[in-house]
Amino acid sequence: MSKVTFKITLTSDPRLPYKVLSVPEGTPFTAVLKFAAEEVSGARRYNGIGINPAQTAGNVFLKHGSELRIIPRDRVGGRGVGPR
Amino acid sequence: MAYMEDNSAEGIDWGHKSVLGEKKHRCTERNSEFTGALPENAHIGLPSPAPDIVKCSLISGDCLYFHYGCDGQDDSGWGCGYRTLQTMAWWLCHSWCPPSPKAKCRPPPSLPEIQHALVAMGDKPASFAGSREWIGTFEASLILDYYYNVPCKVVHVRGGGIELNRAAEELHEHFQSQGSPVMMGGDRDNSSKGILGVCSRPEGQGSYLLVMDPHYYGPPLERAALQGLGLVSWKNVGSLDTSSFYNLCLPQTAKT
Repeated sequence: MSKVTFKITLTSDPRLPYKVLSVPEGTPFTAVLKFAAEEVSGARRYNGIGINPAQTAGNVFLKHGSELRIIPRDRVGGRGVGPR
Repeated sequence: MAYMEDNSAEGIDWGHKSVLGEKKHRCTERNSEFTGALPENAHIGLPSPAPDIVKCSLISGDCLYFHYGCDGQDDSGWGCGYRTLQTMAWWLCHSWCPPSPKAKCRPPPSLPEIQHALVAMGDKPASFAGSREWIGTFEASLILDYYYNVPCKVVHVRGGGIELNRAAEELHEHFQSQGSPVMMGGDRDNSSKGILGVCSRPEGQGSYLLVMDPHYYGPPLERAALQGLGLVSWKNVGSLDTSSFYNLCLPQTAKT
């Protein structure tokens, strides 16, 4: 099986650390993210430009290319809390 | 992930949450016709936020105001992200000309439908369906892609005044090229905001966001009442929480 290569950057860190990974194209993308996030920082979540992690690395590569970004997820519900 | 409940009196002044105090009122029966009671284009007629605005960019087409309980489901305290998502979905249904006509006219998904879709696509566990768990801009991007085949650009703003003003430039570009409403969510600021426009003063002097606040629970209101309560209003970017990061969900609807 052929491999695909990603450069995954952590955008929440102003130093923009990144990891380059090569994986078989059939690899579940969730596994790619887990490894990249652990390598780059303690980030637990992945966000890209509308990428659903529940697909293979090969599919993600074909749709979105090789340069991806990790963004922390937001969660919204109640009223926001802010400084006085 | 911890979910915050607001039991304090602190908060950014985004306007009143409810005109009805502690009492909860049934809005409408839960049926497919409820959107007829929701106010349309609630932002029309708002005065300019400053006398020296040099650039202003707004959504194209019409926009409906979705809020807590507007379809009969009481989602107070947890559903604001879903409601902003419904505002965006309604715009796609009514104000956008998709490349494929088959993609048009899918009504906004209900809160249960949104939850079931996130489970079906593998983003959430089965226990998520029927829960009161919050969603954010990333989940919104998944849903718009799932139901409308519209990809979304998710822009991360790390926080701080400079970053937020850069985000204002991103929003100008979005409204001018794409035209769709935007969803804004954050971490410390965990209040969903629908963004319908942006305007800017001369360079370096700041910007304002046209914010539609879904945190209203009560019967449908007329446009003037919504504006009077600050539920649709211009907000100074400088009033946002500089210690919070923000994400912006920008539906990519422009023809290529």
